[in-house]
Amino acid sequence: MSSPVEQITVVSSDGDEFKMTVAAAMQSEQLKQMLTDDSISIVKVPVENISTEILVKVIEYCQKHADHEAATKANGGGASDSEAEELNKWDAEFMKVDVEDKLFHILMAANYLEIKGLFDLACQTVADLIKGKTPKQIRKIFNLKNDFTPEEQERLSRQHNCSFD
Amino acid sequence: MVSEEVMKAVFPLLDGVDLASCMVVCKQWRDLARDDYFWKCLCAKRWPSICKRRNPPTSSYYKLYQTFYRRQHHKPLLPPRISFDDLEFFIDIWAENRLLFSEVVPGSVLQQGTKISPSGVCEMLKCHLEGSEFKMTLPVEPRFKIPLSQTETVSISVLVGRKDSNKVAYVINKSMFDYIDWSLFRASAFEYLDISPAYRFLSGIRAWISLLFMEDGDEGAMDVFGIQLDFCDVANSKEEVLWLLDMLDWK
Repeated sequence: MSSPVEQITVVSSDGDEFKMTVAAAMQSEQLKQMLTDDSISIVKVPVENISTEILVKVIEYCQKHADHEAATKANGGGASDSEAEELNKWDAEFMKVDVEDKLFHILMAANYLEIKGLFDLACQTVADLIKGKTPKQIRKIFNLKNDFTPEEQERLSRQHNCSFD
Repeated sequence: MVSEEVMKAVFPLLDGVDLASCMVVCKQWRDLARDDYFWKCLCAKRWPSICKRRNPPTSSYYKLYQTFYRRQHHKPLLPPRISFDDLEFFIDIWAENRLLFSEVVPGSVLQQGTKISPSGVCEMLKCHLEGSEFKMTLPVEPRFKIPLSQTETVSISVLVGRKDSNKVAYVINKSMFDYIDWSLFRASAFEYLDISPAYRFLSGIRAWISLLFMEDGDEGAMDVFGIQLDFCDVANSKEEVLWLLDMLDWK
C-alpha cells in the first residue's frame, strides 16, 4: 500500500485533535477504508460521537496493537506465546476502566470505528462483569435505572427465581 | 441507555442464568434478551441435536432452556388428595393369643402426635416426641405391660379405612416386633406395603410401627405408653405420608 500519509489526525467530539500513525489507524476498519481509498485525501477525521476521554483510550489501544503486529512481522510472523500473553495482560489492564463512564463508551466507539479486537475485548469485559451477578448488582455496576413497575418487578423476579435459581 | 447493537453483541457471551438475570435488569435489556435467537444459541450449545429441527420442540427456545437446563431436584409435591380426617386406623396388638391393645384411631389423632409423655420416660424419647418434625404417634391409655418372656411373641396388625370411598387397605397385615432397642426404649415391627396396581414398579416401601415403652424395673417388663407409625423409607412429611397412603391397594 503506497500511501504518502504517515499520520492522520482525528478530531474528538469535544474538538480536540489527536495524531495517529497510519499503522494504528489501520486497526479501525472505518479509518482503514478511508486510508486505502486513494480518492479521498484525508487531513482531519472527525469522530463525532467519541469524546476526548474515550478517543485517547481508543488510540492507545490501536497504537499498542499496531506496534505488536509490527513487532510480530519483524520476527518472521506468528507471535510467540509469551508475547501473546503479554499482550493479553496489557489488554486486561487496559480494560480496567471505570465501568460507568468509560466501558460502554469504549464499546460503542469500537463499534463505530469497527475496531474488532477492541470491540470483542470490551464485549467480553462487559459479559464478565455480568456473570454471576444478581439483577440488582448488574444495575448498580452499569448505573441502569430499574424502570419496571413494582408488579412487573415482582412477576419477573419470581419467574427468574423459579427457573434459574 | 446502552445501544442495542452493543448489548446484542454482549448477550451471546453469557450463559443462560446470566442472560435470564439481564432480563430482570430493565425494560431495554428485557426486550433485547427476550429475543429467542440468544436462547436458540444456548440450546444449540447444550443440546446440538435440538437445532436440527427448524422449529423449537417447545413453544420457544427460551422456554426449552428454562425448563431443561437443570434437573430440578426439589420436585414440588402437589397437595394430597386425602387428609387425615378421612382416615381411621384399626390397630390390634397381640401377645400370642392374648389381645393387648385394640383400638380404632382416627387419622386426626395420629396426625397430631403425642407431645406429652408420662413421667419415667427416658430423655431421648421425650425429646423425640416433643420435637416439631411430623410424626404419627398415639398415647396408649391405659398402658399395657409386656413381660420379658413374652416380647418375642408380640404381633401387630394395622388396617386403614378411608371415608371417601369406604375402602380399606393393609398397612401391616401381621408383623412381629423383631427389633427391640433397649437403649432407645422402642420395639419396632415392619412390613412391606401393598401398593395399588395402578402404580407399577413400586416396591420395597415399608411401614414401620413401634411400641414406645418404659422399663418396668421391678418386673423387667416393657411398660408401653405409646405407639408410633412411620414410613421413614420414603415419606417424612405430612403431605408425603398422605400421598403414600393414597397409593395403597384400597379394596
